[in-house]
Amino acid sequence: MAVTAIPVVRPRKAVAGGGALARRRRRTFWPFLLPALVIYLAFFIGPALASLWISFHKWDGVGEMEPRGLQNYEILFSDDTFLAAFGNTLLILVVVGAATFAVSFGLTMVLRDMRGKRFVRAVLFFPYIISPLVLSVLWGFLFRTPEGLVNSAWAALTGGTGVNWLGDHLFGVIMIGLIWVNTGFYTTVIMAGVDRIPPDLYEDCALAGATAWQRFRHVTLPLSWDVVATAAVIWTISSLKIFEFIYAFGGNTNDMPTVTVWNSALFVYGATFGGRTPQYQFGYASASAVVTLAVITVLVVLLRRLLRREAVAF
Amino acid sequence: MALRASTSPRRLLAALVTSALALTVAGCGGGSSGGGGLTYWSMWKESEPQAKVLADAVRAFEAETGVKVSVQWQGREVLKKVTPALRGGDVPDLVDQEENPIRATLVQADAFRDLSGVFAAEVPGSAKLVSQVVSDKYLGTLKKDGKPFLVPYEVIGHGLWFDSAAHAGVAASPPKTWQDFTALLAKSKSEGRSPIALDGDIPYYNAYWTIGALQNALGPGRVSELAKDPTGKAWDTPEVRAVLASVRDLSRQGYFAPGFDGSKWPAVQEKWAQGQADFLLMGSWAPSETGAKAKSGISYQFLPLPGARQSVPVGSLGFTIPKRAKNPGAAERFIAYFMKDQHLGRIATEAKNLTPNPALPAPPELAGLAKATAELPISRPLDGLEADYPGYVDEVFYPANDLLVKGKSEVDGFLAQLAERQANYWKKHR
Repeated sequence: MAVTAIPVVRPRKAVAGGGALARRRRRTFWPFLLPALVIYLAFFIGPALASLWISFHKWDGVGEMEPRGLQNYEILFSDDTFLAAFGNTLLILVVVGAATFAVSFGLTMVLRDMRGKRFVRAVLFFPYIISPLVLSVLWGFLFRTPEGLVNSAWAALTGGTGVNWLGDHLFGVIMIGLIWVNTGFYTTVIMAGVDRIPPDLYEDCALAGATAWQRFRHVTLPLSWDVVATAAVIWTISSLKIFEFIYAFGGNTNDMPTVTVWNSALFVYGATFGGRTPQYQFGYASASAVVTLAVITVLVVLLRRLLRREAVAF
Repeated sequence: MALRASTSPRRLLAALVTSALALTVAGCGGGSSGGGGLTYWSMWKESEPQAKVLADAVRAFEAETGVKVSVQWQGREVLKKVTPALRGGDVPDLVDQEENPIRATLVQADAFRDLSGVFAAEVPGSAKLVSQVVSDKYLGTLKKDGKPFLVPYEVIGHGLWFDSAAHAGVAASPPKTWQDFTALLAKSKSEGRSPIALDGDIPYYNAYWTIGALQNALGPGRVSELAKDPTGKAWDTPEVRAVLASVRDLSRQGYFAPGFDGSKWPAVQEKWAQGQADFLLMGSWAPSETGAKAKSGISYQFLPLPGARQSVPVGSLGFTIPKRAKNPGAAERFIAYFMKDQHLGRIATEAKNLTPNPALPAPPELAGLAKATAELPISRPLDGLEADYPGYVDEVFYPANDLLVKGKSEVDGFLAQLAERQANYWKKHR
């Protein structure tokens, strides 16, 4: 505090080179950084590098590793099961992501002027806190045919039998479920950004006779852009890791879900520990994890570039 | 202040290291088996009836032999805990599980102990050898290169279940051929009942039908040969096509109870237990699993799936010993000890399952199964596909078969999809 209160403006060079605060900062740099760095290296970077190493081998997790060079990757790119699973990962990333953000923005616009918005926001956030396992059970009760809640309601209203949700549209129902689970979180994040926008801008809009779309397009979106950009990156990374909801909803006590709804996370599990008789192909599964990680990294970098805007000061 | 600030992180670090070391030491102490003792990791949870039977046998064994047994009730994931230990670390002396997961782990990695010695040992106090107590009918598949890797204590049979109180006619003259069987289904349908209960969200249960029908038409072991073909085209024969068409017709004829496609397990098997459908194709856990929801007066009866070359698919649960076990001698003694009638018999009377000893009485609801296993040839569940080719059923057979059984694909479509997926599977499992 004392240092910042000094009114004398020092030359830039002197501040960068010495100064009591800078020296103290330098001294505390490593002690503060080290614990986090060690944990990060041990639990994230280390295993990631180990996966890369294992991906060049054939390994059942018990015997010796057998070097395989790039063979795992060659097989991977012609493995229809992996390509389909990876396609599902991308579908979740794009379709579920777009829908989640659209719904979240919609809810934000509605909630902004609503009385009791804190309560509603808490209710919306609720699915995000509950275990995906519990939600998948609930989701099963809703969509099973013929006795599920959705089809019972449909039958009561129209007399028809309704859609065979789980039998014919399992992946679609999984995507709807994921949108529902995630909407609460992204609504909360986006609302936090939107709440910072000064209300007088909206009053201006009202005076100028702007429509809801124009308000969104010219005020809300540009002024909450940095929050949206960050949320988009968070979604990209977390969508890659989605596992429990699909596993619990599509599968049962003993079996993996049907292979047509696997995403790349389930593929890794299926190639290692999943199923009644596990495959224990750790080398191959590591290769698939490395490929997924690489693609997602590229996507995140692209997304960051694409969403980069001059910050609007307000 | 400055001094304290500089030392306290060190103290903190020292405290952390000390406590971490303490934890490690404690962990090692808990995991090691004391000299002469026996470590047993079980597939059961303590509350299950099998665990109670085993725990009583452990206590009796300790009292008689003085060997201390430390049991950990690990549950079904037990082998997922054994596998990492195989590379280094404390392996248990004794493990039990179903034959398939054991085959995929200990046998696959050649980390099992040859159990020939156990089979040649005497069951204490019976003047009989273990090999004379356990029917050798079950042992054919439980060997690798002639070396037995499992001593079974529970046998699971697979086939049709029905309520003999409601279907006395079927119990009196069970159908022997597929034609007899489908005639029975047609009659039931025409009388307004649902002939078959199937929870179609479980691909394993869907595969029972197709593979069961194929086994009974081609003979045991033949389906496994078809699955071995790297091109996936070996399936395309007139014989196989005829069976596939008959399986597809089950749903086309409307023989499955409502909910088979689109509901969630156990909805349909509960309907069956309530008497809303006639037959259920399942393993011998069917009576105990549906018992709580069953209508009063139900009388469970077993019927092997009909067909020209009828067999009973059977799987075994039993003991195995890792090669690196510290005290394999004590483990072998315990296995032989458990084969005593007073212990093994309780697998039937209390855990309500079939034992591999044909001389022991079967629980009443499994009497039909006991008779069938004695009279008919034995085959493997899903003809061994799941056991011998890990991942094959999940990635190849189930996705194609689900559509066929639910009547959503034709025989041609099934064969095309299966061939494509099978070729893909063998490409990566060369």
